[in-house]
Amino acid sequence: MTDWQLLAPDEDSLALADTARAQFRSLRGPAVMRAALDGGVAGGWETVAEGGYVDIGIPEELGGIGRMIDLVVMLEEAGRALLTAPLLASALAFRTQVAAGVHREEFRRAPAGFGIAEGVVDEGGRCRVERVHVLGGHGAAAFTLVVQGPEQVWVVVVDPEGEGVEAVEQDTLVDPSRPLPAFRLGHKTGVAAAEWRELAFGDLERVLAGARVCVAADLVGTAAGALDGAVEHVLQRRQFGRAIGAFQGVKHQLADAYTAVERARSLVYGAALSLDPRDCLLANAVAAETAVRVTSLFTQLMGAMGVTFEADCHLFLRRAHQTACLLGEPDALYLAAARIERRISR
Amino acid sequence: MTDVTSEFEAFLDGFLPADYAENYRHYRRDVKLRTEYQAAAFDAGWLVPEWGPGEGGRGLSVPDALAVKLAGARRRVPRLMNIQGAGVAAPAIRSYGTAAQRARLLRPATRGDEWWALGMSEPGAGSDLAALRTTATLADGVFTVSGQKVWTTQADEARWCALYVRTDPEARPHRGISCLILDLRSPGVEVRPIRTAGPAVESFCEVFLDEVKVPEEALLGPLHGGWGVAMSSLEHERDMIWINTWLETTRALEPTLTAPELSEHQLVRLGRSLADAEGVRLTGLRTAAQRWAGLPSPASSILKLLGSESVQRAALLSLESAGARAFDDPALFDERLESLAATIYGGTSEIQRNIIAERTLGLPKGTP
Ligand SMILES: Cc1cc2nc3c(=O)[nH]c(=O)nc-3n(C[C@H](O)[C@H](O)[C@H](O)COP(=O)(O)OP(=O)(O)OC[C@H]3O[C@@H](n4cnc5c(N)ncnc54)[C@H](O)[C@@H]3O)c2cc1C
Repeated sequence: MTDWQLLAPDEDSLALADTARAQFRSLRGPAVMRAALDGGVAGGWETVAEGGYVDIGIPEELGGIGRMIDLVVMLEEAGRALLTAPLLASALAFRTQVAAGVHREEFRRAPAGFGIAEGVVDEGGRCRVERVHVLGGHGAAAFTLVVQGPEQVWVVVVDPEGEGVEAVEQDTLVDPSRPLPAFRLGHKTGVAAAEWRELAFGDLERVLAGARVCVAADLVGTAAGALDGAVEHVLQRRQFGRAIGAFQGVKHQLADAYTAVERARSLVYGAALSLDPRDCLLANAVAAETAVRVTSLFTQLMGAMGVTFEADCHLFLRRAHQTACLLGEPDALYLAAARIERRISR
Repeated sequence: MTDVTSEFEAFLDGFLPADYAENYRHYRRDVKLRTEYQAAAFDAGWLVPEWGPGEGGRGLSVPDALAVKLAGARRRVPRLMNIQGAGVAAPAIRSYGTAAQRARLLRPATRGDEWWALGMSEPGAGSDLAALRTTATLADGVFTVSGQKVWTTQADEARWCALYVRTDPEARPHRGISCLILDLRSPGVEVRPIRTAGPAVESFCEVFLDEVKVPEEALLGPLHGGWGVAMSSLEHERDMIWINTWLETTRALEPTLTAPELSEHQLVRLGRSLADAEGVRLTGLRTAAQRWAGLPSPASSILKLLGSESVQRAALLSLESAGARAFDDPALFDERLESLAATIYGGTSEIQRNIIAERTLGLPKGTP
């Protein structure tokens, strides 16, 4: 049982959220996303690194600052601002390294990539993966990969410039501002990992727990940003002589969206405090569904404007869809959580 | 676990039968046990732990009181027989009652010795409570009350009724309502039970009022100030109702959690319902934490909607995943029916959505 009073972020967390919100907004996520859809490259690592954001949620003995709940409120702001800088990829990589016991402070000085894939790692730490989508894969100094074998799981850190790493697909079409390029590793002889750890298959969810919380926090932020945008629009747009937000068909959908966002946020905060595998699976699944649902509603309530390049809602929708399945589809996560709970109950 | 919760657990260990957890399904409907539990918990100061000694509490801080209530929910303490009494009427008497009203009514209402009914709804005033038409005219220190109430839970077994009446027909609807404490044994009161669709839906009644005399001393709160009494007494319940709906959701999931075989589809639904249960619990705790820290807690507006709909999804899942076994176990259908009432009483889901949209999201008032 977690201490429930921590579920309300304290003054420090709220101050961090305020700072992050202002700084992330100044990075103009929506504009950068639009440019990326036209072939531009989204950078921004320097700002994130200088702001110290990559140290948040890392244990103090590893040189970090802040708690999981701080990491969560910060990533929520990143999602809300449609931040394009590779902050989520780094958070996923570092949290997973910490959980697997392969983290080094120096990893945090450079942008990181993160991916999950099927493959094998041999006893000498040589890793073979047929295809892996790496979030933050362009420009990363290191890839942190969760490699799932038939009976075990490995967490490896590999050098993207190392021998045997081949890019097989450069572009991501859904949200190119936060690209997920695909790579093949060690087709012939394997790629030598800088760090690796072998884990029992049953430890997979324990190692992924922190990463799931990060993805979920980012998705809750995306959903909350879309909800804000939708509310703003329905107060402004008038039809039949009144603001469309006065119509009950609109009101009730937004009330449900609000309920979904708050429910998801509660699950994410709870999971951040417990880091229990079941809680993290549920938070990830709920946040993914909520983000897709609320960003879709945003589009619907915009009318025809919703399907124009100009409007922000497709940017929220793109971000939500691409992030929602990053660590598995919601149904698969619900299923895994239900199996865990049934094992405990019987 | 804090000292105070272990003390409470020790009280439960002493009070509850040894097979209580195992046979909860049976004890859930044990009237004698439920009645005795309420009285014993009151006497020991565990019923409303944040209230003072002698009021059913022991003056605990908000966090300690919440810890006790959560421990109680986890142990599935027996449900109160007359929730409106301890849960709604007692807090209203405590904050609005005169010294004489508190002295006479508070203890028996909280301890469960005297039952209460809530006379709000009328045939023409359901969701639109402010449209109520039962009238009371005050002359020579006595109200004369005529009209009709409906859906009045347990009015046939209750001694008292918190009766909402129109005392100022000229004022705007919300401003002309008062709350009277009606002795249901008064001449001119006729209570007719309504047969419910199934045994799990608590019995409710029609209450006919024909020139019933109510002394002026039985006015609860200010004259024409009944709307405020109604809102604040329901709020008290709303703040805590999530503990109940969380408990009911997890309970409804139990047969599914232990069912020998489930399809993948059912497992996915089970996962969704687990998220529902956690969503209710964590949102309840998060908003409580915000209130305790002096922060705004806008998400408390979702608790009724989320809680009742979660119970409903869980009950549906357990009925459906039982398949043909449900034919031999009527409790599964009864609980499904009971769960359908949860989105109606205490403000329907549609009304909750109106409230969230207008008060929390700031959308325009009114419902075109
Ligand atoms: C088990 C149970 C116990 C109860 N116990 C009590 C009690 O002890 N005392 C008491 O006073 N009352 C009690 N009630 C009554 C309860 O408060 C009312 O049922 C409730 O307020 C709804 O009123 P109604 O039944 O007249 O439905 P209506 O108000 O007629 O509503 C019917 C439908 O229309 C919808 N609707 C109505 N208005 C709107 C709107 N503005 N926007 C959108 N949709 C709308 C509703 O959501 C609902 O779906 C109880 C009800 C139940 C089911």
